[in-house]
Amino acid sequence: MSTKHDRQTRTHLTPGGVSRRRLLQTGAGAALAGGLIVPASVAASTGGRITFPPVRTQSADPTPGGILRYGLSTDPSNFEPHISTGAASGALKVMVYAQLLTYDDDANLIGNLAEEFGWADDTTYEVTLREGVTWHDGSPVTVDDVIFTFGRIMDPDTAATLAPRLADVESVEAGDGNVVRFILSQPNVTLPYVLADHSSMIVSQAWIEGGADPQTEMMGCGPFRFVERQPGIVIRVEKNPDYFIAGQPYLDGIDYQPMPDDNARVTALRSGAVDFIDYVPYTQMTTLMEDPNFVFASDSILGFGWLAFVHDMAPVDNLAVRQAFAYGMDRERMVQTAFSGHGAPITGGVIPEGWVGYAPDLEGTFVPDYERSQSLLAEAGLSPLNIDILSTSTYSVIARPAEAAQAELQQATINGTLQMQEWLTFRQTVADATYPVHVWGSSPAFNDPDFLSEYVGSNGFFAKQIHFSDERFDPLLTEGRQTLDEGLRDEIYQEVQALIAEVLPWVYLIRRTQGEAHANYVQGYAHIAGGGWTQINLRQVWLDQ
Amino acid sequence: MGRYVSRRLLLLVVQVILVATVVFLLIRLVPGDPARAILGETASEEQVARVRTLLGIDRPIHEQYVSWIGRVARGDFGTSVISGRPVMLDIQQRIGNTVELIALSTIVSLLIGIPLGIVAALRANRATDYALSSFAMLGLSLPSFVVGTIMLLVFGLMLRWLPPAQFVPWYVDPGQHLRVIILPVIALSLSSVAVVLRMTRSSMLEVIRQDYIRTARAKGLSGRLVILRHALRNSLNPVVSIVGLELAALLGGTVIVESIFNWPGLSSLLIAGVRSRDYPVVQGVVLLIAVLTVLINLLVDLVYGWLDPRISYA
Amino acid sequence: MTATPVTAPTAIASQGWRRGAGPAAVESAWRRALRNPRVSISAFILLLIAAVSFGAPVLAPYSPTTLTDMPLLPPSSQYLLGTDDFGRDALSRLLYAGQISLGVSIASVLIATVIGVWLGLLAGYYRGWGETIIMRAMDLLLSFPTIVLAIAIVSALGISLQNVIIVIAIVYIPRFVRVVFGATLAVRQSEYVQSARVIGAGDGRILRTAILPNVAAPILVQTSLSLGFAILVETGLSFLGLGAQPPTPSWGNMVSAARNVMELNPWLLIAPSAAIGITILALNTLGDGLRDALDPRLRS
Repeated sequence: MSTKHDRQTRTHLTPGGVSRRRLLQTGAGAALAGGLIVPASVAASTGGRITFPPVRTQSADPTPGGILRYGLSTDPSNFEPHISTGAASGALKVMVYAQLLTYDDDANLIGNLAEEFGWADDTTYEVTLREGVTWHDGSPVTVDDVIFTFGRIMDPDTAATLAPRLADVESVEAGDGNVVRFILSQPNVTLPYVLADHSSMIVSQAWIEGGADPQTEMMGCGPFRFVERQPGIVIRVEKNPDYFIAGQPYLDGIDYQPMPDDNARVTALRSGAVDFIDYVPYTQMTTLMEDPNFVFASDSILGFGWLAFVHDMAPVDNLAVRQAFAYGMDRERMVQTAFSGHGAPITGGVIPEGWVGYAPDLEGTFVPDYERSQSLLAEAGLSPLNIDILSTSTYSVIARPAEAAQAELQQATINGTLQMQEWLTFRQTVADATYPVHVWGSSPAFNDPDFLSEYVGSNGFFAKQIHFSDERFDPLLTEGRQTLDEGLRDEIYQEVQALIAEVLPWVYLIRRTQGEAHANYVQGYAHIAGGGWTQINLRQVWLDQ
Repeated sequence: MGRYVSRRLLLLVVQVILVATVVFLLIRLVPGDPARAILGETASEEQVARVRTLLGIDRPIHEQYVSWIGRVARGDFGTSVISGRPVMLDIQQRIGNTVELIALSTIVSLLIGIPLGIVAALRANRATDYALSSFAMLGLSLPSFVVGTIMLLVFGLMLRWLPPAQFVPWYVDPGQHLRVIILPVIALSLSSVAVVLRMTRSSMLEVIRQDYIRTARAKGLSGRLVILRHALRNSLNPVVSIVGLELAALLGGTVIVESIFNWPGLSSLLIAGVRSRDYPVVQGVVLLIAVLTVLINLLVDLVYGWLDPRISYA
Repeated sequence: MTATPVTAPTAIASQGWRRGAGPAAVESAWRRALRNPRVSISAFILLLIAAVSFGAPVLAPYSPTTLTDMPLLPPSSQYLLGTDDFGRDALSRLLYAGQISLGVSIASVLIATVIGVWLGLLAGYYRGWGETIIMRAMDLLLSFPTIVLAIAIVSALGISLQNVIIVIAIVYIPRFVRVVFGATLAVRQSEYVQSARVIGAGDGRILRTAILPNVAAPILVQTSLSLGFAILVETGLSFLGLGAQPPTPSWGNMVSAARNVMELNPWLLIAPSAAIGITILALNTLGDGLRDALDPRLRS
């Protein structure tokens, strides 16, 4: 076994995919090595994350106390800690449970329940738990609980969201003292991201085996304790006075009020009925940004949309036709029409700037060239092209780019007829591959370029749905997963994206702005570019009233 | 009478079983898989298959049906596949909110509709009558989602008189609860007020024209007394039958009103259940709604007979 | 105006329509009804709405689905009702939406009328087990709140305009069956029908020539009233996202879309709301007027 010092050094040099360059820039590297939590106020803002207004007044000393009223975009379906059931339940779980790792304000990995973490060798990842952490029921958090948790996640009967991502984990073992060791069958640098996911919450073995129902109750070691749930009305959590970060959380509790209606949620914030809301609808972003009483914290790098082709269906099995789609859209204008400017076009690769694998050379590849589209179609004998485009009306972040794309494509003589279906019907139809073209949207599953495996890997969820496979991708993706050197990974994922741009399994559309808004007396919150886990920052929030 | 009621109850049972069967089949016809709703976006086919097995929805449909009917007969509506909560518990927590909406709307429509209808009848073919009849016509013609949305805009957002779409349970803050229920009740009851008004007016007119009222007047009874003693009681009959129909309509109306006002009632539970293909929830709620509708109809018929002894239940 | 609630037109039928409400009576009733200024104004408004809706391809200043990068403009001389959240001309969308709302309602009520009338005729004329099956089936359909039934069927069939038409038709068939059933019962023993039978006319002929014309009046009233309710259901389904799908405009989904921007752009909410309200109001007034003119019992 390696010494503590060795591990720290290695951690520093190969922090599981986090950009070394970025670490040095932000000064978070030292904190990462020691596993210390960086207070939000210390961490500097880096590129890619846009927070409005950029400078916020922060009093030096947080005032403890008060209940935060949180307007939640969805009434969470359930609390199961190991199945991802959407951003709303993720937002709750990060408050009551704790995972081993989490992210700081700049989306760098930091320890959460872990005091220290890092690669001991190519296939061994070691995590040292914080000392003296207790569950909400008072019993101590042990190494055995962690081992039990990952046993539960990897048990097929749990149908855990992350199970496929842990396929390379051979065993999870106890080391000396508070050390947990993950033994891998082959190198896989994405493991730390799995440990930071909001579906890898550590659970108490005694609690689960004691017959608790983790769908309807929560018992973790996070900053807040679960109090009660009244479906459709409120989910209440209260301060955990024994939280492992001394002094936090500052709030006495949080009342989550489900407000699925976008309009009602914003109105509730503006009328003072709640202090904080998530998923600010794009129509209200400008209004909230301009209002000095509110703060809008957001990013425009994560959520993205694409137009996918079913690869064994005519006419989109023809590359020329797919190219006609790719050049047949003005994505700048789509950002305006779909999101009133709250987003960004994707004219090259999907990996955002600042990430490992960002491909600057690809930028500007897909700019509108309607004549080219028309001639591509004409050569294929398909001008004009009449085609059904499937999408879903349930989520406006998918539906609006779909509508914008359909309108744009008309200029490229692609007459798309939108078929909008309700979400689960849509997913069934996509799985059945009945329409040649569909528009979907999502965000990276974690902050590492390996999320592309789901899209182009031969076992990837999205790739399988569109009957796409190209043997050139798998070796690259495997190499990317097994390479610790960041410069090499950068090259690998740039190559992956260049290949995507060449064979066009789908065409990317636009990115969307996504964020939370709160009253200006809510202090200490910073948006983390990462959807479901950004709410971890509520542990450092206080009310300045 | 007893035989009539028992025959009706028997018919009711048959009807409810039919409804249950239809709903059971219908929700399974809806494309989309509850297993996919439970698992995240990128769940693998193996995971989906496993969850289907765990839920028992991979069994033959008749097996599922028999076991469901068996459990319902014992009063067990099953457990939500999405939330893991017993369906009965969810229904219990929400039914009160829906019943409250419907009850208040019914009371409002009677308290406003009947007096206005009487006034309209007494002032038949005069300005007051025209005004009231026009109001009633308007009430019938404006859908609740239009009325609800416009009221939210005017009273919630522009004037800020009433809190917009923010449910507060009565046991938390009774005053606030009353304030938030005002708009949904208006949106829900508007068309019922109109219907009751029109029905009261026309049946009052009919009764007033009848001979015995003239006789009573001739005997020297004062106008108001005549109305209260004779005309009103006799004209209430059709109003009662209309209220029965309206109760069913109100039950349907809550679907839209609960959605606009973010009201945690039965209808929003149903809509959420349909969206996530939560079979047990959808089956349970629809079954309950069907039972309620059928019971209301039976009750109305009984009250109808009690009010009008001429109707026999042979 | 003599009022009987429009939601319970079946009550009229069960009370029995007098004989003599045949085609000639329908025609004279039309004239009589139109003499009422409210009815004639309603008829005029309906014609106007239908004309501008179905004339939308000629009248609309812009395409209803062309996106511009000028979303949420206030009303101006260029865009009379401003632009919506996709930068589309709200007025053009309003006109095209009328096509959808009116078209869906008319189609569904026609289907409901045809099916409902024949089922009602058969049940009322032959009675027996046919009556039992048909009428109990109708009771079953009526034991669901309209919108719950509509949501259930649309979800099962899939969301499309065609299915919305089917759903509304299914929801309204029972109402026609009941009206026609009651009216048929009332005329089947009439001298007119008896004499047709005596001279040896077949059942089909009797139904077509003797009974159908005599139940035409209640059918007409029910049709005009049902049109109003069909628009109510169509717009309601669209509002809930179960009707016309984007980018196709319908009054219901226009109201729904306007909710997110209604505070700053209230006209986007008011315009389709007014269109819905005025259309249904005119249809109801027309139906009321027709019934008053046709129902001899209420004629004073």
